[in-house]
Amino acid sequence: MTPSTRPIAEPVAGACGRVELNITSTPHSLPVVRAAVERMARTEGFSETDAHALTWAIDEALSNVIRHGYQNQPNQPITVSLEAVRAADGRTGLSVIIRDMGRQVDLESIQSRDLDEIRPGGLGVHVIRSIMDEVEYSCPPEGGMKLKMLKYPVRPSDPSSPVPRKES
Amino acid sequence: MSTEPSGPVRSISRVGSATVAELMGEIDMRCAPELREAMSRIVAERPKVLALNMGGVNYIDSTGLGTLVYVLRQVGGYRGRMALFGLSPTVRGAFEITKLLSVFEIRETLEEIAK
Repeated sequence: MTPSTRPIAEPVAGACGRVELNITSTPHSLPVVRAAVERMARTEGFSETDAHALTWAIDEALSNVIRHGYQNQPNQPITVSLEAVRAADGRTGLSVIIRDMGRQVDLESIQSRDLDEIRPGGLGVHVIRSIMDEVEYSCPPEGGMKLKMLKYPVRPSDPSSPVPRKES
Repeated sequence: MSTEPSGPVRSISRVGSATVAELMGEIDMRCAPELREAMSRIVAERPKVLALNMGGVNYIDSTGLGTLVYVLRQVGGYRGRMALFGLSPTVRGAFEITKLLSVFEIRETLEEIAK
């Protein structure tokens, strides 16, 4: 998506303001981040289903940073920034920025794999792209990777939602 | 080889012809290696029917799903049967979004598997 076609999303004064989590590259950080993200999403008005989906996508992104960016090396820095944003059409969502100082990878190589091929591994990018409304990877000149994502809650009538609604 | 419960595998039992492994908690990249090891020990005994009780799983990520795909391939390797039951809507959604619903045999209850 080019910058000219990207929907404009401005920060809004959400209930939580801006939340920044500084963690290290250990899988044991992941449940802590999941709990914080889910709580923030619920506080900002996401349904339980949407909050879970957002949490899952962020979790997959962090797993990829640990596994591929830092190649499972522990104690490396990762910052997760969360902020409520409002799109031009009035929808309120959450902006997520994940910043690491790990190995930079070719942006073209970050792709979903063919799901018809039944094998372990390689599902994370598919999950992220299926759930999030916007996904943008970049390689900052200072090093590492930056992942910007946006998620808007799914409207109850939206049939394009990739995440099944919970039965009530 | 021991088939004692460990990590996310909280219990292992026999119900009829099925070996039933009860999985619990959050299955992510943190505990997926433990799950793989525990399941490998179970699969080494070549159960004809391996039923995974997913009722206690409240989260599974792609690493956890990949581990289950690995187990499925191991069981398929000796022509065994593997089935999952008791999935919460959230966990079922994880299988759906990764198009794994059609890859696994998924049932509501153990009775449907071990009848």
